[in-house]
Amino acid sequence: MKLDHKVAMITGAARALGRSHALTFAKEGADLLLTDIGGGDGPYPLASRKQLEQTAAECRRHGSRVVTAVADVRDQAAVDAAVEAGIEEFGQIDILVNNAGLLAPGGVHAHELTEEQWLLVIDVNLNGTWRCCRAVLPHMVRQRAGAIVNTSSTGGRVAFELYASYVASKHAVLGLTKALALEYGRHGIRVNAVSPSTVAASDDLGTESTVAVAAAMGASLRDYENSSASYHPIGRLVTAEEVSRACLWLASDDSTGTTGTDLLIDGGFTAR
Amino acid sequence: MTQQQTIPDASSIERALARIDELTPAQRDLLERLLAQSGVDLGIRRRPRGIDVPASYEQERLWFMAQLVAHPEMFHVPTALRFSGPLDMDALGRALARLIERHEALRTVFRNTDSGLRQIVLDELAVPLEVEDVRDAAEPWAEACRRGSASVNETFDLSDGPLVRCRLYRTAAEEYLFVFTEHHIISDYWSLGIVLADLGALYAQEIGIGTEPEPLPLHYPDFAYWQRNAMRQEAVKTQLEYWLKRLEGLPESLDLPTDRPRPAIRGSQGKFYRVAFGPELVGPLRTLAGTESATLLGAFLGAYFGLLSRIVRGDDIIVGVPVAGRPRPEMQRMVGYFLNWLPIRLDVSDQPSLRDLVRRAGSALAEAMANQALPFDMLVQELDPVRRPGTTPVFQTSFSLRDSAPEPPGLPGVEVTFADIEGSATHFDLMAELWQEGEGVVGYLPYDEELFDESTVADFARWFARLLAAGLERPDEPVATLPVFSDHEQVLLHSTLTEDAPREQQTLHGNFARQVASRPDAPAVSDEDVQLTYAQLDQRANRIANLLQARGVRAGDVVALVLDRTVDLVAAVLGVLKTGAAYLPADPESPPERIARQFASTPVAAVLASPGHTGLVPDGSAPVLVLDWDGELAGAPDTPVSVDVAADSPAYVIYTSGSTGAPKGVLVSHDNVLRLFEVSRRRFDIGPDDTWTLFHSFAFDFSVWELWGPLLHGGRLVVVPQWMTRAPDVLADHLGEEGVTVLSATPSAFSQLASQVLRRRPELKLRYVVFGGEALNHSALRDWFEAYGDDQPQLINMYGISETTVHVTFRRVTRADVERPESLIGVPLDDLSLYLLDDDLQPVPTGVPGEIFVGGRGVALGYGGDPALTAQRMLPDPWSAVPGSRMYRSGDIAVRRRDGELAYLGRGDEQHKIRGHRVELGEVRAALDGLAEVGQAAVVVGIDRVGAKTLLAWVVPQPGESVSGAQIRRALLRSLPDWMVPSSIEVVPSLPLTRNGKLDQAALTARLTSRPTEQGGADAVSVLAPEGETATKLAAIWSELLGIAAPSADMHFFEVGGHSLMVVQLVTRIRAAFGVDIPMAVLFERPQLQAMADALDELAGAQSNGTAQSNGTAHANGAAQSNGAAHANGAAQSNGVRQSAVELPADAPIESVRADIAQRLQGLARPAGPRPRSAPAASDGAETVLVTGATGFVGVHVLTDLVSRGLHAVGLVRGGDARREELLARADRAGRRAAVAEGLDAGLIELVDGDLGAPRLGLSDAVHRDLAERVDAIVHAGAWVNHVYPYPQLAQVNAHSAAALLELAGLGRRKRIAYVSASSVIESGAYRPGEQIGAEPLRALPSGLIGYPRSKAVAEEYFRHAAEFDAAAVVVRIPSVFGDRAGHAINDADAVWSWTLAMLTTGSYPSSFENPRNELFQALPADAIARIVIDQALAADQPGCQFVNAIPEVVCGTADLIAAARLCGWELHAVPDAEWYERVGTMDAATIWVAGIAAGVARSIAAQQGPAAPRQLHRFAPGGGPELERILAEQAIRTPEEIAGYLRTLTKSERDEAPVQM
Repeated sequence: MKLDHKVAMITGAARALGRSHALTFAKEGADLLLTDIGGGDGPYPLASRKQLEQTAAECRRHGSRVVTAVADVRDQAAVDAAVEAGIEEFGQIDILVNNAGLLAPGGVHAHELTEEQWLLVIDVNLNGTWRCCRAVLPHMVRQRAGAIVNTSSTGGRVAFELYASYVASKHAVLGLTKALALEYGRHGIRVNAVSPSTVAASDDLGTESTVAVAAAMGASLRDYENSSASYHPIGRLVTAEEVSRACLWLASDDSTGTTGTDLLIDGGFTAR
Repeated sequence: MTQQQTIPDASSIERALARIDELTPAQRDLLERLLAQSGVDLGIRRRPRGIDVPASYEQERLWFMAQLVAHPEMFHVPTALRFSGPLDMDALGRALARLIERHEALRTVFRNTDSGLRQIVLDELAVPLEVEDVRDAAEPWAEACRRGSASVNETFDLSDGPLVRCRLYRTAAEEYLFVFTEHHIISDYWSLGIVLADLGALYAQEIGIGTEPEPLPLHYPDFAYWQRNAMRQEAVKTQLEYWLKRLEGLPESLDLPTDRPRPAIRGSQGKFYRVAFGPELVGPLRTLAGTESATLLGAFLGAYFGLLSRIVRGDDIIVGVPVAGRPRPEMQRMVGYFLNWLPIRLDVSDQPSLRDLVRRAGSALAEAMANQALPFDMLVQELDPVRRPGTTPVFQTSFSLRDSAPEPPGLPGVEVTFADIEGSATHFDLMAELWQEGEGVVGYLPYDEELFDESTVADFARWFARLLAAGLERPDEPVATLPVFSDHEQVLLHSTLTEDAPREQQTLHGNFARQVASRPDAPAVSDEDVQLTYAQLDQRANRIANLLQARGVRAGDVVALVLDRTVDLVAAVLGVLKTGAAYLPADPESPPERIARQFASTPVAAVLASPGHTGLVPDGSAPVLVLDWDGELAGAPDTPVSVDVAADSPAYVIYTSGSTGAPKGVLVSHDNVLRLFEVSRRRFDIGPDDTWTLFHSFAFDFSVWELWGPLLHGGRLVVVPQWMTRAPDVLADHLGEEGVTVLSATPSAFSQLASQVLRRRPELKLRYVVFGGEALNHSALRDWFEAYGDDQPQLINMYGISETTVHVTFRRVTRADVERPESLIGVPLDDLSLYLLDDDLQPVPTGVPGEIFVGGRGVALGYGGDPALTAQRMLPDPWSAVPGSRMYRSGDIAVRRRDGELAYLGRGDEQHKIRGHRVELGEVRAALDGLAEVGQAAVVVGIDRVGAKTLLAWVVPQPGESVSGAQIRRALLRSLPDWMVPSSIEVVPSLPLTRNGKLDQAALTARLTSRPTEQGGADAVSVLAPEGETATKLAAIWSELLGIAAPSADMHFFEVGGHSLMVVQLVTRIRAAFGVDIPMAVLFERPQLQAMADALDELAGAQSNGTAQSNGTAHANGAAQSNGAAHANGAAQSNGVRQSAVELPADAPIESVRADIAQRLQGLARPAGPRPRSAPAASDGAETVLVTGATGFVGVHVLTDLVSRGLHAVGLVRGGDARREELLARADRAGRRAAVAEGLDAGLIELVDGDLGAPRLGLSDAVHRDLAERVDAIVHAGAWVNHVYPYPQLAQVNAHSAAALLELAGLGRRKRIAYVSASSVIESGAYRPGEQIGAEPLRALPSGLIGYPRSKAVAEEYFRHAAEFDAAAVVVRIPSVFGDRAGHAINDADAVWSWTLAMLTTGSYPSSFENPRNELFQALPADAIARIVIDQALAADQPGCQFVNAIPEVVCGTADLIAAARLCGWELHAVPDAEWYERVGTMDAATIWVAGIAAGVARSIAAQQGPAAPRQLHRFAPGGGPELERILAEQAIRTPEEIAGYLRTLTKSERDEAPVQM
């Protein structure tokens, strides 16, 4: 299996893409440190502790050892504690998938955003990614090995109207990815990103965030998905599993020659 | 050489022998070998002259043991005699001297050399007769005994001798106590007889009435020489083979029932317990011995085996029997250590009678005697048994029976009798040392008091006598059933409910129905989403029951439940019971294959499954009903069903792990459960106001307790969702929110939960926490008790077994238990009996472990469909008055302690509790064996990082299969629950086996401890590399000794083949490699490679502190003889400074260091108050100045400068005046010879022998007093200048010596002190680069790898206490000591010079050196420094401490150094920094001492930062007055030309040869 004997930390693992990543990695033999925020209110209901434990339980069924930790990526101390818990259990962290992210409170012109709203998105998407790297990198440097996969977005390549904070944060994640790739290559650490387009919602993984996006556009989940699909040359939205497989490639030893890059899983969205 | 083998004829042998003493050892060796091959036994002959005789095997082991144990005095053998009559003391003294002269052994000492331990016979050795007159004491005889006992324990010096001591205490005019103490290594019991007889004879001759005893032709060293050579002989080989065969597969150790666990290092000397066996026992035993062809020894030994068989678990027993070890006539008259041990092994598994044992022991002994020539220690080496620290190898108990007590010597005219004093003791856990006295047998049971209480040994003695008495009465009855223990000693805890009152026929659901009737609207059960009242729960249960009935379920059936953990699970359990059926829980979290197996082995009438889990039910097993209120159940009526259910019908079938590889289903009745609560109500206050949790899987019988606790009492049950059991933080809050009052948990689950509760502090209503399911570790509850106390909630430990219905015992756990290491389980519930039985089902006594058997009403119905297994585990209860009663055999081992507490010890078989679940290793192994890829498998229980039990497996793949541990783990997860899947599965080419082909458990466990962190597949685990230079070097030594290619950091010396004799080699090699004497005890305490290396580092620190040898190595000192934690401290103690526990870590903050210093100074005498300054004591009126480090680079200038000022200089130098020539030579090189010569002439210079690292500066009392009285000032310039060693190694000489100087200053005349500190003291993060440093105390201390700056800084802190010693101190910080202007000599201890040398040697420099901003040094010549220091010393006046920075502002850069080199004509070229530092890093540190630093720089360049930023130095404010500023300005070294002036000396070879030391 591709991730035998590897330990992966996945943030935002309670549901959606994070849960999909966790399951994909579990099936490939990884042991997992899964974190999420453990509930609370954001622009939409945030992932709960229960969802996190459910992800963990499913991964355990695939034979993984799993440690869960509640950690808001806005809180460095919580992130550090999670990493410590992982190190305590496994002795190492080989892979970090920075998946935790927040879709902006949408549909607002940039100048209409409150500072608080602006900072929230930057703090989760950009600063949160940096904080997790910051916590894990010393261990990877010590191990002289590691793979980090950051999560950008098609919004990290092109812009969307009315989502300035989100777009800015995701562009910044790509910048951070390259900077880290440059800095840590000599330590055997690779840093890459995935940029998914809108991901098809699935009941198994939880639909809260997609429903929220749709609602921000004044649409139902189904209408939103249908209309989005038309912008994708493949004629449908990409699936979470497709994104997870890209992460798997970047995290595994199949991609040892690759660092500082960004894989688009966008069904051709940015091709036009 | 060709050689024709002929048998030598007698005459040629004779001729050869006549010349044998003239042969060289090699020739003699060859001759002896040839003769031996020809079958000629030469016997023991005088050893060749002038050779180095190795220690005998026996001596080697004893010497080794003496190094190892905490109380080597256990090897002192005392003889105490009472003399009554007119004793001629002088004659006795002379007789003693002649005795020593007569026996070489008494003049022998032992030294460990590279080629092994040698015995050296001294030509002369004085052993005085020390006489003490105690006639004036109140009780002279008692006083003499007290002193005599104390004298026994006085140390013997094995390497210098003497190893004999004699004391004579005069207690009355004609009454004496004579105490003769020998070290066992030169004597033994037999020797004692010879020595005493000889002493008597020599005394007689001295008083003129005897004749000279015959001279002795041979001595012990001759024997040792013969032994070492004779071992080649065939006879020994045959004997070795005999013993190896006899001891094949020997048990690891004898588990004597100790009162306390065994410490890793033995710390006790042992005690005696006196015993006596009267003629009424000895007579018949002698008769029995006669009929069984055994000696009395054999018979007694057989009985001793019988005793052991009753008190140890295991029936393969080895007892050591000592023999004189003098099988040859030549040995009979030698004094020395011949004693040999015969390990006698008997199998007692077949219930032997006393007669059998006597016969077996007799014949085993006879066989052993025939093979007694092989030294036991040689046998141990060959056997190489598993060694457990703290125990002796092969056997742990010994037995001896001598014909008589030794005879006291006859001294003419004096009555001599043996006297009783304390001293010496036991070398084994338990010994029996008996001798015949009249018709009886008397003696001692010496025992290790760390393991046993005296009362325990007294029990052994009593049982031994009872066993003898009973066995002699019934010699053919099995010893196992003889009445050895009295009734009150046997652990039979009977049910306290003796009356067998008829019980009401009740059912669980019937009792539940009463609660429904009395409180229909009270909340009964809730989960995350739903809460049901009693009435609602009852309705749901009724609908389920009706549906089940409709589907044909009848009373007596079994209904399987495959349900999620919700309120409906509870409804389903009730529903099943209402139909009269029993439920079979199948947790959907279990692996499908396990569920399938349950279905296969228990026929079920129906299955109730949650909607998502129907797929888990094997096809065709039974009708499946989906528990879905919208489905079939919607139409089922909620009216009660009417079925008669008997109280003893089964309520549930719960599967527990089975030893045969298959889980087994236990049938438990309604009444079993109801009576559990009946008796529990006597101990718990349970009622309707309680809220309980359902925390455990309903497939685990702890859930039965959780379910019915509330439902039978009107309470509320909170179903904890599955996910929350994994989220202790959420659960902690949940407990508070739900107002839970009764929580049941396994100790490990509780420990996770408790840490969250302690952190989050939810408001709790908990009244009880009930532990069950696994052994409780009390100490884990410490924090809990701190926070919550004993009462709110109460913590209850309940030992339990599924087969006896959930709980067996009850014990309230309180704060006081935290210190008790064992898992205490309390007393049985009132209607249960608990017995501790041995393998023969005989009750064991208090103190002896036995298997737990449980009888009474809790015993379950049996195993479903397996009457054979039921009969095997549930035996008739012979102690119950109730006919037909059964007792369950638990397989658990417990012991009743003397205080009455029952302590759970673990599983007796292969069953273990893992994470609260019972696991049979057999079942796990069967699952592994069932995998196609697996050829062979082994499973053991190990301990994981957090100290919890975990399973570990080793797998040999089928030929041709390639499989990883991870793959196997995944495969296992399909058939086993996760707690049964080993956390580590290692794929190995083969499994280790013992000699007799069994799986070598010990070797497997050894692999465990050498494993780093567990990863899923152990094949992922890499070898943990040793870290650091010491560990790397040590690894190389291990590798050589043990033949392991790359020892890992956590490898355990004794588990990878290291044994005791190898330890001796290890010590020798460590000394050679590191110059450190490591006490053997340390090797045992820290057997892992890395830990051992760390210990070495600590020791190196302590030892060099103690002596500061100039070659950088250390000799044994005080520290080396003590053990463990005391090491780092040995030096501090010896300094006369109050003992501080240990050296603080090298990064301790300044505040801690200050506190430490204050503490270290506390014990020193201080002047009562300020002392007047008096005129100099020297006759010429000039001041006297004490200079430390007088031969050092600065010191020599200080000394000469003082002399040239007409002052008296006293140099403190190791070696004292003997170093005068050397000092002159140095002064000469420094251009100061004239001054010294002048000083010599004028007598102004004086050298005293002292040592900064030694107590009181190494000064004798007289010299110390003298210096205190006449010295006016001290210049402390001495230091161990070393830029490689870490702080602890330098601390004593450089830092703590300040205490001794302060002490000196505080005594006698008032003094001034100048301390020569260094600019590097500010090398800590607290000062910014370039910051100006004031003339003031430091605000932080340097830390880091190089300890020198810190050691200098710590000394500064000492001098801040000067006022307390009425001293005026000045701390003078000096810059780089560059050389001296007078002689242009250079100081190669200075880093700059070493870097320069590196540049010149490589012909290059790092390119960053060209950067003009890169600052290198501020420097002064040594002569200028000396001048400054003396000025400051003489100017200091007021008590207290001032600071002076004698550091010029002028800074030279690295570019200046390059320019200087060019001026000298050296062509250097720039290379990249990384390359240059790497190259220098590999150079010989002996020449370029900065090589180590360079290597570090190279690594840090490579690791990250790239070339460092230009180095910027600090600037210093002088603070010493205008004169100082003038000197600094004038004397600073500033230009490349000036530097070049010094550099040129390099080519002139004029630099000091020796590295600078104090």
